[in-house]
Amino acid sequence: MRNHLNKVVGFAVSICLLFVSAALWAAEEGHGAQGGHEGGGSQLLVLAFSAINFVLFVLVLRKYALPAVRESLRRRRDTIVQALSEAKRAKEEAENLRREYEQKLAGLAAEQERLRAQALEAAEREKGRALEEARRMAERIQTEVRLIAQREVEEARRLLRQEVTEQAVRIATEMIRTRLTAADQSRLIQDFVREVNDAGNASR
Amino acid sequence: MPGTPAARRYAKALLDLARAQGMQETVGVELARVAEVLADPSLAKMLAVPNLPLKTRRDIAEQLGAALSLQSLMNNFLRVLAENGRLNIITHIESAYQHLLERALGRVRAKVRAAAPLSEEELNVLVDAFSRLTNLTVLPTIELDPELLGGVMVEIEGRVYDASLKTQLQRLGETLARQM
Repeated sequence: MRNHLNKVVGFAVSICLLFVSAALWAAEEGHGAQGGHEGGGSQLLVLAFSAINFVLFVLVLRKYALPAVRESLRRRRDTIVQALSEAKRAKEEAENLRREYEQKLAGLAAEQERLRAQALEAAEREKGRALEEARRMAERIQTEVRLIAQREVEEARRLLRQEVTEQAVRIATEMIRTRLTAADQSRLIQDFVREVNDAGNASR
Repeated sequence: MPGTPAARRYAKALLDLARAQGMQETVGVELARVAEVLADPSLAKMLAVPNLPLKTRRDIAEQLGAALSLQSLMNNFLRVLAENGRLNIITHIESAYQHLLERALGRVRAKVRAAAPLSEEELNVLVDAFSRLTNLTVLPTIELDPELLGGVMVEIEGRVYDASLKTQLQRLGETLARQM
């Protein structure tokens, strides 16, 4: 930018010097050929003065205005560059964010699929466990029912045996009461005495 | 053997003293009378009171000796029991003494339960059999018990010899119940 301005200013100064040279050459030619044209000489001086004035203007402009313009342009350039940089960064961030969300969306689908698979697996396990539990409970109930039935049958048998035995003992007792004679009693005592004697002989 | 350990120790000591004086059976009779008096519920209750004054216990022993006209050996024995606070175990001492006395004399008591009255011959045969079995003179006490149905049951020093039909029927019933 600065080089460009320097070229512009240099070009303007060269043009001015060319104008001044041409004017001075034209003035000398005119003065020599016509000899006495006063009005043409004064016009060349005005032109030269204007050119010098313009050169001075350009120099002053270059000395004082150009730095300010340059600075202003530089700041503006910096601002634009910064804005462009920020815009680029924002665009990159947006792009990153987009990619991130795309990845998340893709991951979400996978996660959803994984959770669904886990839930299905857990449901299968629970179903199997419930079925196994139900099977065991059914077996236990069957076993208990079988045991209870066996106990009841055994108890009924025991009661029947007891009843029959008691009845037999009652009948025998009644028969003994009515039919036992003194001779029977005497024989019982003799048998007992014999047993006691045998025990006494055995212990000696 | 009947009685508590303390009662057996007192009974044995008394029997030794009585045997030394040749009075074991007399002492046995006197001891039975004393035990019968002290078994009176009101007297037994008073003797069971803990910390009964020594004077009271001595008075009871002396009055008992005087009332029953006891020999000096028994009077002394009662005084010892009173001083040691052991009058309340006199019944146990008496049981132990009779047991030791009978053993010392070669005798043993037998409780004979019969379903029907025994003839004298049956009783003698029975007593002879148990005398031979125990090597002691058996002193039978007869008791009628129709529930036995038939046969007899003899109890000697806590051991039961059962030949009753009632018990045989019970065993028969148990055997039947097991085999059915």
